[in-house]
Amino acid sequence: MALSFARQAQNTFNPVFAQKTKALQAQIPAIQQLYSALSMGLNREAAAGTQNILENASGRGLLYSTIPVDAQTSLAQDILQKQGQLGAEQAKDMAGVQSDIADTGIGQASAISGLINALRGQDLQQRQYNWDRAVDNRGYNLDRRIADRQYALDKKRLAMRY
Amino acid sequence: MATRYTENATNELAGVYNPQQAVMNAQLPANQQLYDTLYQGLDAQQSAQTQDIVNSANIRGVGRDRLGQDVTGALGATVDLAKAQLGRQQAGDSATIQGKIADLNVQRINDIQTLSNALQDRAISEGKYKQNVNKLNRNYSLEVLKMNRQFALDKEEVRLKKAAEAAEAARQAAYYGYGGVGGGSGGGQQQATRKLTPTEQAYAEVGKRGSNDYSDYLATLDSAKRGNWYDKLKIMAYHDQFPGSYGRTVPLNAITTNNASF
Repeated sequence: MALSFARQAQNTFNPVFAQKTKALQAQIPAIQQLYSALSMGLNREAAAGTQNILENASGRGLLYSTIPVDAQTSLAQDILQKQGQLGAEQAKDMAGVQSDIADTGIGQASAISGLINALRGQDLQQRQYNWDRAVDNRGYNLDRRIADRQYALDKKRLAMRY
Repeated sequence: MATRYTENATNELAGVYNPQQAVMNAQLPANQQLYDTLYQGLDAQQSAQTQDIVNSANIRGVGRDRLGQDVTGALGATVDLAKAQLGRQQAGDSATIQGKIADLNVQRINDIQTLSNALQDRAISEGKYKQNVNKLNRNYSLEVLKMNRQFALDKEEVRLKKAAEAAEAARQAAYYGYGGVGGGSGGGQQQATRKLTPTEQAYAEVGKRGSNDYSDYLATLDSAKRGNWYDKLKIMAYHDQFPGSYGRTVPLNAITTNNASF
């Protein structure tokens, strides 16, 4: 019977929460796509920045080998820092979504558990009521049979006495 | 499984939740339409800006094949990024709406369950009340039945007892005999172990004659009115033993007149 309540509760809530979970999960590829695009943008920025340094140096008549290392290093550090920020933001976004999914799972379990308890309580109450009624009816029928038998017995005793 | 109550609760709450759910459901296609439009806008913007680049290059006398890849490429990358942001935003919006729909459904289910419990409680309370009334009525009827039966038994016992006494008295009267109308002529047997009292004798004789010996009754009544004390006893015995035939009321003039010797 307990299994039946569990199944009933799951059948009631699972579709509801599945819809919500699916919508939350749909954010994951969107997040990945967004950060992929942002990352590509950063790479492009890095390439453009390097090109600018080269062209600038070339414009100033400097040879490639004599371009100051600190300029490229500074650019690379800047890009690395941005990539790091991007990675952190992506992780944060993903964690937010995963947390929402987990919360939904907890909510689902809690709702199912609550419904199981409610259904069990309801069923118990109904059974108790049916039982009490059956006991009453049986008690009455028994009393009636006892009275009938007692009467028949008394009649027989009376007839035997006289 | 309390299906009846759940069905009733579902029907009761449908009027409250269905409009709300319809409004929320309508947000999904509206949201989709909004982002479709935004995507189209982005595509149109990309086309227009690409055209601007080409036109600008033409004006500057730069051949299409010599346009810097980085210009169109940068534009494409910017548009891709904007689309990705749009996609992220759409997924978030959609998740929010779906979440609200799910929350509404959860609330609906919980409310249905609560109402279902309340309906069941009420039905059970009513059922218990009816059962209690029914129980009281049945118990009362049973007690009345028992009392009526006991009364019938008691009556029957009295009747049988009297009949037995009468039969015994008759047996002894036949053995000893007593005077009076229709009674023994006196004398009788001499070997009595115990002589019956006149009252016992009268009851015995009447019991022997039974409930339909009207001629003896009338003769006895006449004799009693003339003062025969033994027949007065017989008249009382007739009325006491057979009220169904002779009535319960003893004619007073039969036993009160000329009763000096009684």
